[in-house]
Amino acid sequence: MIDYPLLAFSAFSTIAILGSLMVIFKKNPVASAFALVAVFFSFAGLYALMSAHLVAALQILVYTGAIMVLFVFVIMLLNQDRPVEDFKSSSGIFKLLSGIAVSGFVFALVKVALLARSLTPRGDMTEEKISELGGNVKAIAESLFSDHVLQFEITSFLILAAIVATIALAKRKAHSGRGHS
Amino acid sequence: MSLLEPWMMLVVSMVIFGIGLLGLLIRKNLLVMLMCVELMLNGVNLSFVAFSKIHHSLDGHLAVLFVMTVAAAESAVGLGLVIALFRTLRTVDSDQIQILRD
Amino acid sequence: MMITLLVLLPLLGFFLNGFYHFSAQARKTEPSVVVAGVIGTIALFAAFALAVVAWLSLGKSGAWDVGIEERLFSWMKLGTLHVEFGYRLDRLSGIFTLVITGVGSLIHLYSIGYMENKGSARYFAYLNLFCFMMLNLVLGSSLPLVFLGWEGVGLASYLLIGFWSGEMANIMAAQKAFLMNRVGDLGLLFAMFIAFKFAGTLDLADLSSYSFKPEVATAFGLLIFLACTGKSAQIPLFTWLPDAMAGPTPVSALIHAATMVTSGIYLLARLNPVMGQSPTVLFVIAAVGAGTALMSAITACFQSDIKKVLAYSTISQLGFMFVACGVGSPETGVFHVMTHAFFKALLFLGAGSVIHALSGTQDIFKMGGLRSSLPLTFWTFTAGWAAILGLPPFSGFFSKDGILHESLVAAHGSRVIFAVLAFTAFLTAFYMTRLYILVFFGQSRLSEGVRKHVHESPIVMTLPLLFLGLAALAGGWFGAPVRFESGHHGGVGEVSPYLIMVISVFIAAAGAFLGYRKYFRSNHSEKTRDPFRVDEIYTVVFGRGTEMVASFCSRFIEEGVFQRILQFSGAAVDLGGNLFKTVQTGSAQGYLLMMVLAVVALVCGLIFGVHGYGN
Repeated sequence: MIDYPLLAFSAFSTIAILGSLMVIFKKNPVASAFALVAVFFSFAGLYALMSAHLVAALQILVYTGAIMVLFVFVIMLLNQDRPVEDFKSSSGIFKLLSGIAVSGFVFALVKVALLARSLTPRGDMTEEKISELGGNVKAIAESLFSDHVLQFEITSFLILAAIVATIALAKRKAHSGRGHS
Repeated sequence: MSLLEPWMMLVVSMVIFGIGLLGLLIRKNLLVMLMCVELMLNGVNLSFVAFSKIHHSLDGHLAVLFVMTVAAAESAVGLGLVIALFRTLRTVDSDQIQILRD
Repeated sequence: MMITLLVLLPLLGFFLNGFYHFSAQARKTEPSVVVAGVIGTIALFAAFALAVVAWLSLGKSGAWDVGIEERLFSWMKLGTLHVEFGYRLDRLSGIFTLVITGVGSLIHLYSIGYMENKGSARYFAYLNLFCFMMLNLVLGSSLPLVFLGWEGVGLASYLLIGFWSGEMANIMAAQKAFLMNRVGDLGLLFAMFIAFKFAGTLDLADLSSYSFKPEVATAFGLLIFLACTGKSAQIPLFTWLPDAMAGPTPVSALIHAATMVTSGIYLLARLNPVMGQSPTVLFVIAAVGAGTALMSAITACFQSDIKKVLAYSTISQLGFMFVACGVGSPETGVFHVMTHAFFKALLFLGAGSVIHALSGTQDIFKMGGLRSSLPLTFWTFTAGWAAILGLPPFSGFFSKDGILHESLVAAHGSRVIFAVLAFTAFLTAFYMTRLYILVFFGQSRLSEGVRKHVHESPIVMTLPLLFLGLAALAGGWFGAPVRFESGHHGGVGEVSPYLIMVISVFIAAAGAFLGYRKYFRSNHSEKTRDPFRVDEIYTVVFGRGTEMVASFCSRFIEEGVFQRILQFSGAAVDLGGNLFKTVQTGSAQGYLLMMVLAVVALVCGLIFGVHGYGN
């Protein structure tokens, strides 16, 4: 008997980790961007494995559909004439220290993840309860628009602010030429 | 029963977070650095969902929704900044953007 | 609200005169001394009238614990500390209030004649402020309010001593008085701490009935006594009072003879039950009082400045009062406060009148023969002279004789103290007669320029003299009945008060005769001397001592310790700055790396670190 969920998890997680490594080690930003798309898709799969269907759908819509497109557009827009001196410019000791720091960090975090095995459930939203309520999406929607409606509204302000900021930043000033701002 | 357990998801999320952090540390291209930030945010999102699963609660999902909104706003503003910087300094190399130091 | 009104009237006068001063200044004119003086005098005279009414309302019982209490508001509420802002008038504070307002209003009146227009509104404002603070001191129902008044009179005294701030000496005298008083005030402050710590209350009535542990009572008593030595000019804090004579003469009469300097006696009498709990404290009070009385009486014999003689005489008389408190008979001391206020104010005002007539001359060897040219001053001064000598039936006779008697028969009296006081009384008679004779009798030694302008003082000045003369003559009869009916036990046993009377009159007569023999025909001049050289000793001990400590500090502590610490810390900062400068690369990723390393350290600490920290 094949353990399909475990198999799917192994596939998705492998793609995610390899993709992330490609994101940070590919010299060409376009390659990085496409590796990132793969990572986002595999994350959607992982969410689906945990029956977080709404999050999985939003992952594809928001990250792959909106954010990645934004990245690719910007890469094309900039059209760098000089490639960034990416891996050569930082010193060996800096790379070493970064490696040590990050591995220490990951080690500590994984330790936390392993501690999570002994956690006992605190809430009452079991699979059965969720399907009783009418599914994952309905349950989240009810919670979002009742208990968390204030945060939801605040988020809308955040997005408005981001829109204004982006336009203000990206808009070329009418009177000043390139190189001045 | 499947052998798949939420803590495995946690481990993956932490590893992705770590990779994102490493990228942020070693890459000089501002665009790639922003991508690494997205990676880190995704790692955190995954752990939110995993903890949500462990605790039988939907609050983690809600948190993910908010993180996604913030991430969208952040990348929009971040990319806007990158464009503005590129326009002024003709570079996206973070080591060459040191005007505040002098 | 009678007592509150009584206290607030001088404050009103203070504000009115202050306003008058500033408005005159704004109009670039000098305020009129008559207007300012009338404001001040009326404010105080109204207060005196209220005080008389309040005193009469106490009834005739004569009991010391009957009083009118007026609580105004809750002043401080901190934890267990409750301080009410309120006034309380009983026999003790009543006597002081009557003296302050009564003598005070006479002196205000006198000042109208004595002062010039220049700055007079300021002068009367200060004088009213002083009276307000002094009334707070004696009427306040709790120690903090007494302390407010205590500091307030110190301030007013400082302002008035240095009133003629054109001369450096006056300013120095004011500073000296202020600083020496601060030493004593520290005692009062610490006494308040002790009272709060051990008795839990600062209310005077509660405090008086509280019984302390013996050693606490001793500490409390000694601290209170330290405060009193400062304010009432006793050993070791008395040298400011002769210098305080730099102020205008009415100020010397009011503050530095009649009222402020007696506030120490008030405090001792008020807290007498607590003082009585410690024989050590009583002994110290009596010993210091007797020592001060003798020492300053000796010094007074060598002074040639008319005001300085009176100043030392004041210190000496205050010593008498302290002895009365120390031997356990504060009511006699308070009685002497009253009579002393009358005759010493009279003497000072008389001296002021003389000085005024002689255009500022203060040296008694440059006076003489003024009897005929200043008749009113002469006769009133005679009354003061007789009173301080203790000649019957003048007021000083009853009170001084009372203290002599008590020093022998009261609970803590002794023969030694009696002998010291008796000798002091002899000296008092001697130096007062010396002053009296040199000023009013014999050949005139005035310089030509002065002689032409000698004139009797105006009516506003002689009127207070007449009133005070009457008080000095008759003031003793108020307390006389109390004197003779009270029976005391202890000390050296029963001694007939009549015997003491005879002895003290004889002593006074002997002193006066000696003074008469020595100075009546003599024409030679004496130089002012301070036989004890207290100021020089203080200068050497505290001045040089401080200098030595300071030079030690500057040489060893400053250069050796602080400078090195500073140099070291400077070098450390320099080193650290250079060290951390290398970190400030300007590279965002460098900073990020540091942040990550720190977070890793923190997270590892949380996970592997202290138990109960990471969970």
